[in-house]
Amino acid sequence: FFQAEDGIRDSVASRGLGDVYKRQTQCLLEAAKNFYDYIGGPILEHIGLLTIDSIKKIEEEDIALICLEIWSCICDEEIERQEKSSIDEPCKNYIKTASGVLLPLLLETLKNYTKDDENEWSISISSACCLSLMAKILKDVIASPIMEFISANISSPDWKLRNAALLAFTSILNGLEKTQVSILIEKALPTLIALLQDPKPQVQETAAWTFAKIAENASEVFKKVEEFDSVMAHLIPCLKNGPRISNQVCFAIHNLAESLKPQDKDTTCLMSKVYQQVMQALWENAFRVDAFAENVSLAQSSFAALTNVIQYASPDILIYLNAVFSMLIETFVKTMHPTFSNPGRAQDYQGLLCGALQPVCIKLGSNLPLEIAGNVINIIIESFAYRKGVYDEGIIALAGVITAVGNMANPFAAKIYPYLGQALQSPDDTILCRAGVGLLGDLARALEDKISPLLPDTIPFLLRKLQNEETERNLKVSIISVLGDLASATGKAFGPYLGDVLAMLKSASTLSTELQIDDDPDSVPYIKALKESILESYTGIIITVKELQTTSILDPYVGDLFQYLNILSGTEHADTLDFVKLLVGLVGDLANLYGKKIQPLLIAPFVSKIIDLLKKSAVKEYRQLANWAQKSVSLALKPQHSLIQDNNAI
Amino acid sequence: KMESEGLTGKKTFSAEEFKERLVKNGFSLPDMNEIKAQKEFQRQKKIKATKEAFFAMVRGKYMAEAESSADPESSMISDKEPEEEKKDKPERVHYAAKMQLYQYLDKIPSDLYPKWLMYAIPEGTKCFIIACDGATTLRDKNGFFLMKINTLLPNGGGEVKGKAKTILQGVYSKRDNIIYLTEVMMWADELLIDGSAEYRILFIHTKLKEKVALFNTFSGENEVMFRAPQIFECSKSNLNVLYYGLFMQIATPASLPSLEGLALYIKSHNLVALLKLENAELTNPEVQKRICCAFAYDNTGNPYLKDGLAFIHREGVFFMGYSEYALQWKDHLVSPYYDSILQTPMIAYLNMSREKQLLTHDGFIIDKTDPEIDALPAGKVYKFAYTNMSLSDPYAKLDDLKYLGPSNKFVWSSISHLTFKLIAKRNMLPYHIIFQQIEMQEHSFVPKPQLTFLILSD
Repeated sequence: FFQAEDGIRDSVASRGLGDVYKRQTQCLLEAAKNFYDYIGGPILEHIGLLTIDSIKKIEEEDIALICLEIWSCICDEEIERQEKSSIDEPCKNYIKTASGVLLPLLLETLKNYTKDDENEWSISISSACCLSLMAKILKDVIASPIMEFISANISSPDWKLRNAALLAFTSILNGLEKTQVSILIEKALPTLIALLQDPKPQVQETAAWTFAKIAENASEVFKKVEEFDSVMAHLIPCLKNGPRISNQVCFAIHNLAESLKPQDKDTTCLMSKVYQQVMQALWENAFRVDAFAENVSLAQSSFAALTNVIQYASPDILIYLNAVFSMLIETFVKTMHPTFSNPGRAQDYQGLLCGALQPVCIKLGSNLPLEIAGNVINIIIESFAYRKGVYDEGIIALAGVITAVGNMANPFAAKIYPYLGQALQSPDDTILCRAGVGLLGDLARALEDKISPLLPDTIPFLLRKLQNEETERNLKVSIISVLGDLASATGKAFGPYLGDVLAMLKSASTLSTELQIDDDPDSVPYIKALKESILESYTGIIITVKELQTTSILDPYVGDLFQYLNILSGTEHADTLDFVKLLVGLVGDLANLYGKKIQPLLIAPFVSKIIDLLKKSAVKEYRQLANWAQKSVSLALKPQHSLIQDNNAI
Repeated sequence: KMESEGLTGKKTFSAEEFKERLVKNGFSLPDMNEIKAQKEFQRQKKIKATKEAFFAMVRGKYMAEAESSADPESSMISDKEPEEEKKDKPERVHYAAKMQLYQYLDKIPSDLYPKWLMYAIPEGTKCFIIACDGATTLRDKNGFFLMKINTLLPNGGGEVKGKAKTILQGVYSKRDNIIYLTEVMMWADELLIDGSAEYRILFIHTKLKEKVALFNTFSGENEVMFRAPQIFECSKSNLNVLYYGLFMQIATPASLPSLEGLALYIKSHNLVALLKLENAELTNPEVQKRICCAFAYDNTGNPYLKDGLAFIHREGVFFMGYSEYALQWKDHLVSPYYDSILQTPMIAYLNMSREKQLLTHDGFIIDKTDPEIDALPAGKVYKFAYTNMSLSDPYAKLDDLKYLGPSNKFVWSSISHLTFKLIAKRNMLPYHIIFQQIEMQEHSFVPKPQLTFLILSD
């Protein structure tokens, strides 16, 4: 291969055949990806020579990018092997060998900031990418040369160098130990803040992005009051800068809110201090004139930050939430009015406002006054009329209100039903249909048996939808799960549909065990979700059967169900306790329901196997569940009329 | 050729692949759709959690139903969860063998009258009750954790009293959810173990009386009721009352309703099988006697099921382990388990000391010749079977001693446990002998001349 390589190389020495050369590099990339074990020694040298040469000649950017990707792939492989540390696949430390040449080269490339608006920062960002991967592998070894580079360039008069220093700074965040990183950031903080006001907008953007990265990966520094204050004081005004910078600031706030979220018992957190200020700034930002700039949707990122700030807020801001709530509702009403400042984007804003309403509702929970909840529902319904149809964000917001109000939601239910029907029946919009199914589940949990008038129409429709081959498969999973919710919520009223639903579940469970994991990597989580929803649905149905006081409908399915549980307990899904807990719960339910009648089924070895497995869990609830199931099973297995003697007394 | 073979079917390094790399390593802005998907994922997770909580709630409800309809003995509270046990270990060792335990009555003390008190031991789990730091913990004599509840004991969850600690001993009846207090070691940091038994018992009764209404209601603050058995002086008339329960009084037809009350109690608490009253007729005097003997009365005047009689020396101080001043005695009328205990083979739990001696809890040395037993590691408790025994203080010989296996007990057998079954099987200490002894002691009792201090006034 490399002889051929050299041949091609010689023949294209003039670089007239750029395309051939590019494909050749492409081949090298594939080789590096797939043959890690074979590229050591002289071959690595070869690769080094070829790629380093190409990276240096940046005028052919495409090829340089592929060469960087080659090194990134080798890094990926080594990181994976370091984590696994298995003897069969040892890490051969190619990167360590190559770092002497590679590191200076990458640092040099960082300076080549060739940005245009269409592409994101390409070559310099790609080398920063590679550098961060290298830092993960080499850790401390690489830190000091990079630090030297940073301190040499961070206050350079050339903005490209300042920018490169910033990029280098973020790329080593992941590689070092947390305490080291904290010390580093603490030292660099004044400089970083100063760079937020850099004369060059590109540098400002990178600085804001740096803050977003720090907030995501190393937020410990901001947990100190002084640091937090000074950072927020400088970040918030930067929202007013150009869209690209403002966008990065939004994400910095987005990440900060999440990483500074209060712990379980905290009544306050750092964010509360600046809460009003941040909310105000984000709100203005979302409605500024260039909120929907090309490539950058400031409205979206502002709302994303806003939602996170609300979602992770501490209890002491509850008092402001009502104000936020009314602000959201007022604006929502305005969007439907012809005088709205940005009529072309009214629908976008409605979606965003709905998206923000949901976390506020959930945060308020039972504190949400009923009349306000009714008001919100009315307004959302009004917007359905305004847009001449339902939309997914609206349906999700309705679900949020219903969840918050809980079993007091009954008065509003009748108003919602027609729109729920519209959402479920939307023929070609699966997202909308999924939102509808989600709303149905929330309604079932909130209203419990009061939802039973809905059953005669809904259940046959959902069953038809499941039989339809055109229905999207993830939607089917949601429908199976919601049938269980309806069963456990309505109890006796579900009785007439039990036969059909059980028959469906049986065929679905057969299907789920026959499905093969093909080349499609997405099908793995899909099959797991399918099995989970089937198990959940069975659990809900057993509650119904229990309330019916007769098990005759379920009887013919019990043998198959045990068979299914047995198969599942042997699959790879049973490695995760999240899944095992569903199996154990179901076994316990059946033991409880049938008692001695299913003794022969309960003595199957898999029953005690999964219960024992769950007993070892670190989660207390799981252990409780396992003990409960074991108790149920042993009660069912116990011979009648035995009298345990008080051995303690002897 | 290369064009067609080498590159067909393979993607070239495209802008998408480049973007994928950036996203993967966090060098690109998060995609809005991804954030949305993440939010949806969080929502689903939350829904799953609510569902789980709901299932747990329903399952708890059904379990309670199943338990109440099943055999009440089937789920004794001492079936512990193994991990609870594991986690519990250090604390368990701390609390093990700290209770005052009853020896079996093997010979009758010569001063039962007037130096001893007696009460009927309630049926249930003998336990330690520790109230501190806003919760009340129950442990059995081996230190095993039984449960944690809120009670109105000082600092026991219902009532906050600084850092005060209260330690009691009693019997927990799962059937009625009542704790019958029998001993107090510490009350709100006041150490009482040096007081006499009479003083401690009086103390409990006074404390219960202070808040009799509160201790007898279930609430979130008080999850079990607290009562105490009625205490009697060891006189022959009292012994009759305690042994026969109401039987002595119900000979007259006027008090029959209370017998019916007991019959109702038996039915509603599923005690028919335990007391072997299937097909028994209430009009039969033998059955009436059996029912009445099975119950005694607590400080509030309500009946409870007996499990033997306890004899306590008035002046005995608190003693951890088997005390010579706290005795128990049983027969088939006062203990529902008596018959079944007699039917089980004789089992001894013995400790192998560091000196390789096989010891009872009160220090008797057991003869051993079996090399298998000799080889057992020291410092642990083992289970043995035997058929007969002979005693010569401090040695005891158990016939046909057979090793059965290790035991996790911290409180092993005392010598009175080993002799109890022999005495019981040969019926060496029936009720009438105790009665006669007390009658004799009462008859021959001469009050000692008491010293009188004369305070002379001028």
